[in-house]
Amino acid sequence: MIYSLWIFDRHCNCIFDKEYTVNQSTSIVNSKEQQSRGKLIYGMVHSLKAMSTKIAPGNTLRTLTTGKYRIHALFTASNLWIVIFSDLTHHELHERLDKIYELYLKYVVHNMLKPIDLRESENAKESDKITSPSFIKAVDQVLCL
Amino acid sequence: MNTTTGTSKTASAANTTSLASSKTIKQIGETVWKNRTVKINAELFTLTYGSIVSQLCQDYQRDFKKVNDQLFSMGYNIGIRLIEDFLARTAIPRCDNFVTTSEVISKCAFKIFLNITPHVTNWSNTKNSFSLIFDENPLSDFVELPMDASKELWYSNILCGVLKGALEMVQLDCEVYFVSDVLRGNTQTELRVKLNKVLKDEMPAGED
Repeated sequence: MIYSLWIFDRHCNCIFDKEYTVNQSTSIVNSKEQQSRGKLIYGMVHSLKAMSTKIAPGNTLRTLTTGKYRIHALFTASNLWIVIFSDLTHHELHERLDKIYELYLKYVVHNMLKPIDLRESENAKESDKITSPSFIKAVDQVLCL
Repeated sequence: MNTTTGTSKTASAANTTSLASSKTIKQIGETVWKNRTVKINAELFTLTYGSIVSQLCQDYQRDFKKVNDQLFSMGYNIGIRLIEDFLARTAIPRCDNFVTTSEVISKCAFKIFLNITPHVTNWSNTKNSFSLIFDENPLSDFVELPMDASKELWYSNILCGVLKGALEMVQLDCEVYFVSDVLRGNTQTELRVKLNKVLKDEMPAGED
């Protein structure tokens, strides 16, 4: 099963997170309690990513497996990160990462009246995140197949 | 704990691993244009842009410097979004050098969004600025500049803004401006792109 989804923007901020672990109907979106965990995940992925590029230039981190869970990550040239935590039964989630990037495109980037850079807009707050209900719904459909 | 890594980001991007060859860049551009681009009527597009420019000229009482700036800033706002669209469709990774960047802009970006391939030329010695020469420009079909505009208005200035915004989002701080335009009576339409510096990716704030 999928445990959680995290999206980070180019300013290293978590702009979307969703937990699926509790129970799928009451999953937690953009939770305040997860803020520090988001920072830890960013730090871990950041270090591994830097490390893998250092060892082989042009190389990118794709997946990371531990004893209990697996991480799939997508990094775009614009420095948007999409990270999925899943159990060990999922081996290849990169197609779904691409789909989520397409959904981000459709519901966030193409939504011209919403700021694309959640931190640079006027009255930006530390906690500004993607809240579009259609985005959340579409993401659920991709992840809960 | 073990990690697997790879040079390509996505399965669909398997062919983008060696961006060095310009043939690959051209192929990506053509494939995306053919298979993953929704086409619209060219006249509708040209006339829509024309009516925007003409409205701006009216709004700014024919102060063409202000119209240029406004077109640039509209372009910038498009560019910072359009880059995500571009990356999602092509899955191209960061370019190693500015020469590759120029190829991607001309053969891939312009191909996908406007179905044109401007020539890259006039490289500076340091390889940090180049010109794009437009043989055709879908924005300015049917257009003749009125006398009072022909010295000051850069009719397609929105393109400069789009490039500026899009390049900035992939950490390339550039100056983008028109040098000449056939609409002004010049022999060719030339757009200059000059790299100021490569911006550093932001680092996470240290834990206090």
